[in-house]
Amino acid sequence: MKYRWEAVVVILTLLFMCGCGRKPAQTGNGEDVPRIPEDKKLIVCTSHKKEVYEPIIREFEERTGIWVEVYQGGTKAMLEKIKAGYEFGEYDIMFGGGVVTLDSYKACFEPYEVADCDRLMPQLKSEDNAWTPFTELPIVFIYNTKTVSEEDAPDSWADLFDEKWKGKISFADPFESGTSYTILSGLVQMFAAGDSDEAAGEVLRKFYDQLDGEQAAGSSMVLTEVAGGSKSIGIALEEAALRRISEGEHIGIVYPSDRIIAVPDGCAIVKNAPNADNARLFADFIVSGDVQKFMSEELFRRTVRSDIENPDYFREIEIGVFDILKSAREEERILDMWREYEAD
Amino acid sequence: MRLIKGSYKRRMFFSFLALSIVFILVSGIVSVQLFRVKIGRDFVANDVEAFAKITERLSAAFDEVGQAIEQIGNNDILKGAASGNDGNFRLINSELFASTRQIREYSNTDIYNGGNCVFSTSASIPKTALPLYFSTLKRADEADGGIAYSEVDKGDDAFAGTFKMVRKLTDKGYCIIRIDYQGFDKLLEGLVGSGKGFMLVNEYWEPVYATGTANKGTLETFRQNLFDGKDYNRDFQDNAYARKIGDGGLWGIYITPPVMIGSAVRSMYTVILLLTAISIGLSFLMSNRLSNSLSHPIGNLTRAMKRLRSGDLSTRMETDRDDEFGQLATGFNKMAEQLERHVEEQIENEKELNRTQIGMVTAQLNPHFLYNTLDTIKWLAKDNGVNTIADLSSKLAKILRRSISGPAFCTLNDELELIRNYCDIQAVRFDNKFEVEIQSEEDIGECLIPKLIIQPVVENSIIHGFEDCDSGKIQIEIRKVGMKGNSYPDDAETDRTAGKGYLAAIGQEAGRPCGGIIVISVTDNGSGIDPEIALKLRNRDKEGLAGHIGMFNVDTIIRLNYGPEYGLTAERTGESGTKVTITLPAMK
Repeated sequence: MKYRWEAVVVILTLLFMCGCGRKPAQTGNGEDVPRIPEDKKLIVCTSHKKEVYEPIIREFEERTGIWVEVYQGGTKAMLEKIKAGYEFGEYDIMFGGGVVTLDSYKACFEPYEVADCDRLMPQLKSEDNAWTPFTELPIVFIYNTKTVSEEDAPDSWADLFDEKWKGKISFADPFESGTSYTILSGLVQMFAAGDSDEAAGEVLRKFYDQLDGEQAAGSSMVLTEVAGGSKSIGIALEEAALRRISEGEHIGIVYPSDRIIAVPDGCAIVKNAPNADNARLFADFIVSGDVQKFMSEELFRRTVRSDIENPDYFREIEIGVFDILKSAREEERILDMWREYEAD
Repeated sequence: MRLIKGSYKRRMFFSFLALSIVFILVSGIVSVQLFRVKIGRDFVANDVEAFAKITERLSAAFDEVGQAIEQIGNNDILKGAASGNDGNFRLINSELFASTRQIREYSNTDIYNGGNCVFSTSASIPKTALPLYFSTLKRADEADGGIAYSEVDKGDDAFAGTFKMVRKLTDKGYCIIRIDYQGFDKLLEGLVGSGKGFMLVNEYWEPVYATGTANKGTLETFRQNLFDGKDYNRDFQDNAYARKIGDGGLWGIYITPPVMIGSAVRSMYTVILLLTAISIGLSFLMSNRLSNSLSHPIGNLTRAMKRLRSGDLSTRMETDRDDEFGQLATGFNKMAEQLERHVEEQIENEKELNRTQIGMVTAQLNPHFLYNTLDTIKWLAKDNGVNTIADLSSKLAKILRRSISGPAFCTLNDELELIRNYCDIQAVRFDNKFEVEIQSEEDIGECLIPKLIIQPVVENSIIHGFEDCDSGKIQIEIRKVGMKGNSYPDDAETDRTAGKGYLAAIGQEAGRPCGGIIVISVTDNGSGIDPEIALKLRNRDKEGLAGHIGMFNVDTIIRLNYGPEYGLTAERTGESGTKVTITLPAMK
């Protein structure tokens, strides 16, 4: 008690020093930086390229006033992130990725039926609404117009097995590209007689031999290789091929005559989404007429809506049978076989 | 704490130390912090000024664009062109260029019919059609004739965006004025200092334009903070200033590096540390000096007090100081002087009283009458041949003369002669029933003692000790010992200097101390002193000593003359017998 005053002085001094030592808050000249209201947030994981998601997200923000936080990465990587984080409510929605892949991560997603559900093409819809299709992406053959004439270009999947294309086909590594797996799965569904592993293995082996041990590092590399002439033909998504053509690259497109496989990409609402309402708004938005039109007119992606006409540059095609669910089921088995060939 | 409190010097040292260190640290740290705050404020003020210039420039540009759009909207030729009407191609272009003269340096103006660009001030007309249902043109439709805003960030290269101000001119005609990154570069030329950065973001803090140190990562940090509900520049090392610019929902964010005053602050702290070290040294020196100047006179005073307390009334303090300590020393000296004088006066008074008392006792009978009578008896006896009577009366006359006249002090030899005469007379009276043996050291015979101090003791032995005894023996032993001899009185507490006051005050007739103590012991083999009497004697109980008042008187005389540490004690020796010891200082 005797040293009460001294103690008070010391404490005041220390407080004063602490007060002086703090960095003054700097928010400019007093103008309030926006605070995001809790109900105006959305956390999106996307595997789309920036040119695809950026206009959609900016338009979405503009129309709804919702702030969107974007995490961008490869489909597999993003889905693994979601798988690890959905229990803690870290993400709201997965935007992008083939529906085959989305379907295999069904456990992480909350089923949702979008507002315009009945306007979507029935064959592209999910059975249980675990995901919502976004755009339809047919798989096409591409060829370098400088080195291959339209007549010489392969016309059907069966043509790919012709000896003359051996080592000349650009095909992305299926471990890197979801599209490549879809292609392998499609080949198996088309050419393997019955469900047996042997039949499937035979088809895959034959196709692997046809590649002559060379695979492109990713799906965009397929286009680069063909356009650059290092490979004569390749298998790619229609949207990518059309975009490259619009940019003036020397690429021609062949729609396989025997069967056109098309796998839609989609979006899926994550379980425990912290902003589930906004996630649903976003899902509604991406299949809305405006976005679908924008995709087909500006970004060469075919709409999934039945009430929207595709622009003229899309050839009228008939999508062949492709069992998406079977493909999702077989993914591990087929990739295992592929890995074995690679090891050989 | 005890270490500090135990010493005045240490207390002073720590007080000085605490005071100076607290003062230096507080003032030092406060000034460093003030320096920091001041420099920081100056930097902030500079930044705010620079930022204000940037925002002014951009706002002015947006205003100019707004005016140009207004002008185009009022131009019928351009409106006609936007509606898709055929018109004079050159006229339309010249009108367009005239309307956008002010803003062309940093922007491009396009006239759209539907989604297609029909006229443009840029080198090449944009080929890509714009959707009417999406983004820019949709905004213009919604704005219903007002100016709408839109920004595009094409490609993967963030911040290479384009800001668009758009207005619907006619049913299907639009005017879009675009400012791309090159345009912003021109607008902000020289306004964003080197090492600093500036970025434009849209309403949702997405990138539009950036220059200098501003980059994508910075914006991601800000946006993440906003999403987390924190201040946008939290955990951001540089300074950031954000402000809304124009009506298009754009935010400008100005980024400047933190104020680099670390080294200056460090060297200031070093100086403070140095000052602290110096002040520790100075505190030590000062406290040493001050406490010495305080403790030295206090120590002197304490020692003088101790001397005074132990009886040395002549103690005086020496001082050459004029301050409070000088006054204290003078006061002490005066006090000691007064005390000494007072004690001397009191002793003198006491002695005077005693002399008077003794004088009264001895003057009860005219001694000359008795002496002459005894002389007459002696001569009468000689004439008649009775030698014994002559001898007796002669000795009695000697005793009488010694006892009732002359000075109060006599030599030890004189006293012993008196004892012999007295014993001779008593021997006659008691029929030689006792013997007296006197042993005295030779060199003390001339020592002065108060007269008649041994005789009452011997008388006491003869009268009380040998009442029922036929062969009494009295042994008188006189010796000189050091200041504290073996047979010194048992008052061991007494300080050897205690008697100095008495000895100093004693009269000339008693002589001067010649060192040592004279111890006179009178031992008899009589019936022995009653222990109660001995006790009463020791306690100086005069009332209880009726019949033994002689010894009490001897004790009193010695004490009054030489001080309380001297005097007489009596004790029983063995079965019978008494030993009386008298101590007194040797004087000559």
